[in-house]
Amino acid sequence: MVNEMEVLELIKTRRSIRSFKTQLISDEDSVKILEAARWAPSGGNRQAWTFIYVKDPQVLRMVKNCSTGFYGNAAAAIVIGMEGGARGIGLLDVGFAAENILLAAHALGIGGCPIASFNKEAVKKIVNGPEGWEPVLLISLGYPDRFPNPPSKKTLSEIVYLDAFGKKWSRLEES
Amino acid sequence: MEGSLEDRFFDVLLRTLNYAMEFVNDRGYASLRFMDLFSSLLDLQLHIKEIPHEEFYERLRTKIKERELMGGQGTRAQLQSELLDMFVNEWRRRASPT
Repeated sequence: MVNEMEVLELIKTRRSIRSFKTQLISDEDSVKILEAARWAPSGGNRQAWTFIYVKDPQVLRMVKNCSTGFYGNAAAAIVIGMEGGARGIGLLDVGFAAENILLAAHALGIGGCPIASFNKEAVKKIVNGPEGWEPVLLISLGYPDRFPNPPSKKTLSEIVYLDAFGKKWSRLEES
Repeated sequence: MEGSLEDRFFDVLLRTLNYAMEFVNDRGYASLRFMDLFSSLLDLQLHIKEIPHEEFYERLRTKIKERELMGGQGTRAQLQSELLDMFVNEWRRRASPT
């Protein structure tokens, strides 16, 4: 059985990494990360996503050139795309897969950062995306060069209510 | 940024175009000014002897000049998209084994 503490610790210690070492990611670890994406939940089990794993430095260079939100010399990137783009529940599906990717990478000592700010038209051309298919999210991947301090997070009592909006849960007051 | 001077120039030019594309639907002058910067960088290439592939940069200059002469025909977004195609095609051409 999965160790509850390890899973929660993994979730809490993940950071968005924007500075990477030059170390490459093995194909074995890359596949493990993509396997985690494959097992993400999707609305109605549609699995309408496509993952393009970019490790060719020349393709990576072009993707980076066309992505204003892409920081650092990542060793690889994943382009998550969908037929017709992601709207409504499709956008959620991409988010589920992205979180699985980031957590699996973190478990392997690999850092990553989700990137929504990029030129979709350009990235589609660079990866030869077919008609009707659209890239939705990029994730940069690599071994962390710097590990950011934990960001400030709202307390549970600020974001969680009990049974009805605005009704405080006394159990959370100290958390 | 790594690579040869030409790769670096190609990257800076493409990034500038990309910024212009990002702002194309915004109010204000950002996209226009980034296109001005793009053109200025492109002209600078004429003075950098170490950068070959002059034909590609010449074709970019011609495309921009043609669009200026036609005036009003086609939008800036269309021009940017066509320029982007030229960059991707040139990148593929350079990457493919001869």
